[in-house]
Amino acid sequence: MIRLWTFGVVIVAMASGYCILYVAPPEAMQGYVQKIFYIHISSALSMYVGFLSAGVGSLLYLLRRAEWADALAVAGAEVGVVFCTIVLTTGPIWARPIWGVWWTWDPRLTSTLFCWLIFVSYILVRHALENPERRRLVSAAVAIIGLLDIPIIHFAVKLWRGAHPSVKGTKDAMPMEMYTTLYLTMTAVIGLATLLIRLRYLIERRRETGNFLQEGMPYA
Amino acid sequence: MPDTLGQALLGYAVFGVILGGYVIRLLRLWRSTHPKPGSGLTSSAEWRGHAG
Amino acid sequence: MWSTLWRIESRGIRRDVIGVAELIGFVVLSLLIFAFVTRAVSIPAPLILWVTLLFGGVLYLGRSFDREWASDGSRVLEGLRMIPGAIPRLFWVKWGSNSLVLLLVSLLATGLLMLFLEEPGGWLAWSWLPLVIGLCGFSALGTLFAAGVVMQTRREYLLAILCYPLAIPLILAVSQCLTNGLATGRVDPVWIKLTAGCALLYITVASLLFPYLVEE
Repeated sequence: MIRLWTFGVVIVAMASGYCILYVAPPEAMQGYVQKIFYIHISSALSMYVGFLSAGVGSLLYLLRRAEWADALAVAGAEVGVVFCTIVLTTGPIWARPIWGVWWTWDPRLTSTLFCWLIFVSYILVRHALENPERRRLVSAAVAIIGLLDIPIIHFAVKLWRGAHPSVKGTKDAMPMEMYTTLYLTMTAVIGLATLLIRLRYLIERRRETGNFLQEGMPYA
Repeated sequence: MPDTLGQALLGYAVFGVILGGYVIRLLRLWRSTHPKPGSGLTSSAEWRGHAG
Repeated sequence: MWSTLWRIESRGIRRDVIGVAELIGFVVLSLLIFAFVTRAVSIPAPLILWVTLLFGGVLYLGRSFDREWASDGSRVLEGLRMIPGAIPRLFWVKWGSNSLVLLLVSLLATGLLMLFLEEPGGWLAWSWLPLVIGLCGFSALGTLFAAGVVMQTRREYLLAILCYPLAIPLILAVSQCLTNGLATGRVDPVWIKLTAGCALLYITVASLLFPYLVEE
């Protein structure tokens, strides 16, 4: 199943790479840097897939005490943080030539940074707590509150920073080729994210059931 | 059209480095938790088999 | 049940006065440092108060369960676990006592702040509301995670890492209430609603999650 999925992701990724390079035209006002937008948006969606898995897994863990749910939560949180990091780095690279600054306290940037902080603290706590039962319980609480926090953070930051340039406004002006490229890239990146979550999940499951190799190894 | 090819390449490079780094980490973890038979490392299941 | 739990808690606080004294010491020293700093750069008094209480609060909240878990006191918690319904009530008692201590200390800190900065304190008329709601909401998160990190070697640092990111909306809302209030002289109607909403959410969720973290 994993092999088939990997195969599918590779095929779609190659198609989307081809589209980004040759099919999608460079944007007239921004030039080639606009092409970052394809992976930026896709990574943002993958980030939410990860954080959602972390929250749902944590809730299931608290309710059922099933170890698989905890493994799902770790996998989701870790992959979510990876894609959140991509969003937070590719964003400024695009913003530098367009807005003239690397970082601005734009609502979307700010709320993404706050979500990143929450789930980084999730990972830090998992490293810090030695007792496995305690580790799972505390981190589950962090993920649940973190997931509940996300909409409030979005609302609060929007209120805090006022109006901001919306991505949706540009949609009408986007040619068909750009749409195709965007959807292909989204499929590829989200497919990759679910694959990574699945792999990380299997690793965590193996760690839980077999203690031999885990002994003496730092929890990483 | 402004010349922003460098920034676009930088963006994709960063994407590749972060994702590639994580994939490498996952593969390493995978290898340590799913050792091949005869590789010198014993998986926990085999270990238990020996012990029992 | 409630009165028993409250009696245990108040006796615990009396026996561990040093914990409250440490919090007061920390707050006084922080305010003193702020008093030096504000000679060069002006920082509004309510914001100084809020930041000092957030920092001191984490240190104090981190010790919430030391009494119940400490070597001789561990029997208290074991006993409570055996009584059905005691653990959920323990949360409310702990949260109440923690919030009360923080509010009392903030009262003291307000007095000191006015003394150190020679402030007339006109902001008190409106800023008490966001501060009180904010502290109650923050202490709910702190109480929940204090139960999670109890007896851990790096718990002060861990608790800060847990509480601050999760409390971001609340911290932001209270800070905005205070900043806007300084300009208009009254409580910001929108931000105070967000403050109250966040506090209510944290208190509810913390009370629901607390039994899971304690009944291992």
